Amino acid sequence: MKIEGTWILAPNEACAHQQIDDETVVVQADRGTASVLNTIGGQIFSLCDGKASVDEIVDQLDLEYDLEKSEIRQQVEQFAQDLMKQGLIRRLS
Amino acid sequence: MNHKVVIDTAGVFVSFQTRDVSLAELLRMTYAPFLCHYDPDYKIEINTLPAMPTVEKPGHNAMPAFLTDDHLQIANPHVQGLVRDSDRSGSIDMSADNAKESFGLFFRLLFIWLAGKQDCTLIHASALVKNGRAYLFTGPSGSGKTTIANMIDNARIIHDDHQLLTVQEGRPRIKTLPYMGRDDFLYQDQACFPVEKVFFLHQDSRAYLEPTSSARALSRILTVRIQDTDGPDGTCASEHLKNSLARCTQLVKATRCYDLHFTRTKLPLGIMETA
Repeated sequence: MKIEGTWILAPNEACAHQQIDDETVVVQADRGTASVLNTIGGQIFSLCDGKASVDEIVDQLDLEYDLEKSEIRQQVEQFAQDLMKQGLIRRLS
Repeated sequence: MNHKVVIDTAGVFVSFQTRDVSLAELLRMTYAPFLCHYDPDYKIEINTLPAMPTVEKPGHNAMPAFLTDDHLQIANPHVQGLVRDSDRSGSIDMSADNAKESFGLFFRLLFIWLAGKQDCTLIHASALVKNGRAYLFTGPSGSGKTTIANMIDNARIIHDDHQLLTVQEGRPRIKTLPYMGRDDFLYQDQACFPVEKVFFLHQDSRAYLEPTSSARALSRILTVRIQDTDGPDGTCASEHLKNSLARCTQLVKATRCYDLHFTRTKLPLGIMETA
């Protein structure tokens, strides 16, 4: 599944999350799991807020990280795919 | 004729009414220490049926149980029904066969639901009290919670399977359980102990202790909790889940958390005192 830049992603309704120190814990009641995301993972998850598009998430991270934008996009898309596979986020539009 | 049994359920008085005299007797016998005669806070009618109709999935998430602030709904093959907070009443249908187990399943969910309304969260852990402080030992079923509880000297077991977590004055505390739906409650006095440490159990070939991060501790507590209380038997609505998440977060932030590796005969030295 290819993640498009115009997609708007949001947390799954059955999820709740909590940032602790520099890690984020995402709880999935419907699957009975809790996942720990590292700093950047937690940041991407938080930016999947049902408002920002994937392009806007990439733009936001591009301001903060000293990496090629194409590399940031690749990482965001890959990570978003993983989050969708795990059922932590879903596509809103 | 309706038979009425009032049970202290997580500090809330619930009246169960049934026409089935044998069920009423079963409840009186099973929950004898927790029967009470106060005016009930909730009234629930129980209908026993020879056979249960096909399960209809409750709520919108196709789970066998659904808990919100307003209601508890269950649709298990053996017990189905709804309890509403708005009029503090409800009705359940359950199979006349294995009534004790069917009622026990419903009662456990009711306990979780009512505990949540009182700013408490049920977690799956054994707990000991030593010098007025509680030590929690948690892990999946079979990880050794009861074994560990019995290996430590000079400490009193609060309960070897479940704890009621609350936060008072910013400090996580464990409340003793007057009832858990099983016959193995160990500490019947009403009491509340500040939590000193949390241990995540690993049966291993050698015994050692290592600190774990708050986030990892939280994910482990929640995974065990969800699988135990919200997964197969019932899914919590987001608000309920968020409240539990907030309480468990306060627990791991205010408490030292460790991975505890142990053998069947040996614990790391001084685990209660280790900084």
